[in-house]
Amino acid sequence: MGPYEKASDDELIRLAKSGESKAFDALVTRYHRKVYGLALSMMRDHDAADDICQETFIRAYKAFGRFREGANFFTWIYRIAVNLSLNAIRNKKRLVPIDDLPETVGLVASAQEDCAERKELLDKVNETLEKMHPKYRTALLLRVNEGLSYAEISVVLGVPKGTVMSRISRAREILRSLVEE
Amino acid sequence: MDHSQVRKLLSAYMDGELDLSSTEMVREHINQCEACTRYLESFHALDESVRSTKPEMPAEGYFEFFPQKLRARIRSEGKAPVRVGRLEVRLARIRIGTTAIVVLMAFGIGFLYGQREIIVPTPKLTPIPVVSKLAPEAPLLEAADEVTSTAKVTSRVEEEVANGSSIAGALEKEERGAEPPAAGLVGLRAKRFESVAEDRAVEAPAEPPVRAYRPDGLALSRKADKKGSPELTPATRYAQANVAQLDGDYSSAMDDYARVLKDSPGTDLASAAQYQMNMITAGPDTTASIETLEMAASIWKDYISQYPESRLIRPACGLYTKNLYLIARRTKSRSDATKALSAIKECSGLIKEKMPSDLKEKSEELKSYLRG
Repeated sequence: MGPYEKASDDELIRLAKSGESKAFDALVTRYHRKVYGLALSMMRDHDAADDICQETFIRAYKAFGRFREGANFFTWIYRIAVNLSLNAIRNKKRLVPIDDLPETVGLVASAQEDCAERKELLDKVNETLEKMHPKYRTALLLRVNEGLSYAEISVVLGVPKGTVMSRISRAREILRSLVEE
Repeated sequence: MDHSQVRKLLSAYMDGELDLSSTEMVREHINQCEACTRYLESFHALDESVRSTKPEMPAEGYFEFFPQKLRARIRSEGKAPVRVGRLEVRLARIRIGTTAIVVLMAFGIGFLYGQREIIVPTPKLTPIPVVSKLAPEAPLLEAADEVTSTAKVTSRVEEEVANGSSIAGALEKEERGAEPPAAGLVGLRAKRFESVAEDRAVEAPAEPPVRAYRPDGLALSRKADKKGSPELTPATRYAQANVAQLDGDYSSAMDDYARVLKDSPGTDLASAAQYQMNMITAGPDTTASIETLEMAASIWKDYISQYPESRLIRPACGLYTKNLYLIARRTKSRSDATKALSAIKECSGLIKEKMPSDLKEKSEELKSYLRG
């Protein structure tokens, strides 16, 4: 797959549209980790993340004809993944409670922090995220877990940048007020 | 700027998303305000907690096979318009004949957490294709992209031959460079894959059978044994075999797969079991029983005699002769060696090209043994 590794997204999309299946494979290879990470962040479940990741690329593959060259493939594919995740959440796919998370979940804890207190905090954070309205939670996770800029989140969610800013701010306020109760 | 104004901007300030003048004003305020500084710190700490609650990403193996898994799923869903040069081809659903077999890709990686898929890695962690039913003359499930890639493969093979390589050698080189499941089948495609863009409907299974058999299969089988049920169903026995394979108990796995083959012949499950068996026996450390190897060889022999013109003839011959060769090595019997050698000769005629190099080596080894 050597020649495809250096190709830009636009070049790969052009090739994929013309039937070059390895170009599509290269796009998948380039982005499937990120898409999986996003789906995992939102769904908190590997099976669900796997389904959403596959479905995202299948939909992208089928909709290639409508993809405008020059547009940002990354935000386009993220948008598909976010919509699929939100649909899945609406269909009552629950977030995984903290107790069900594997022990290998990374915990950021200083040497001085008490583990039980830390676990309690994470429990509260998780519970709060679960109860939070999806529009706030999604914006927050895209920023905090996926590292997207406000401009990118704006494209992914299809809302103005100002709305992104207020949703993330609101999400943090909700977390802060509930966690520090 | 007062506290409430600043706090409305703290989130965006933290993310570096404010304009320059607002950034400067917020910075100036928090440098002088402990309360707002603590407020900002609480946002940082909460962000860190949010990151901590995200489950860990799966092992790299999952991502390594993801593109292939996706392609298999795209093919099975079909109906995606693809432009191939000037020819627009629809990826069609392909109609499967009831007595034919084709290889699909089915693989998965066992995850660290909770339920594991019983899509099991082989001993060498290569994908495990699932054999499904397909008319041997029907195109493989890469309709549209095959139109361009077939021509490319053919021209590469022809170039290699022109440079002095044997046809078999050139085809094997293509196989090594091809991604699974193409490996083993590229040689056939290069020679015979001219009319793939035909709009035929094949009822491919929506999911490889092996995906359906999760650890529950093992629990069910244990439950059945516990209740004193005399027989496991083929499905639960298949699941049991999968788990044994995962645990490295290839002998038990092979015996169970062989039993599945015997109890449910001609089904997708049997085809999947057959392929799993051959993936195990292809390795050097097989502990399969002679009976199991013989059953595997017998099944491939039947396939070869029914579909001598199949696109799968090359891998079918490879697996048939390999099983016989392994039997001969195990038994060290002259009659088994003779049988294996005859099979190699027969298959060489069927493949219609120069004998593949690994078969040639086995043939030489068997001849040498019989002479000595």
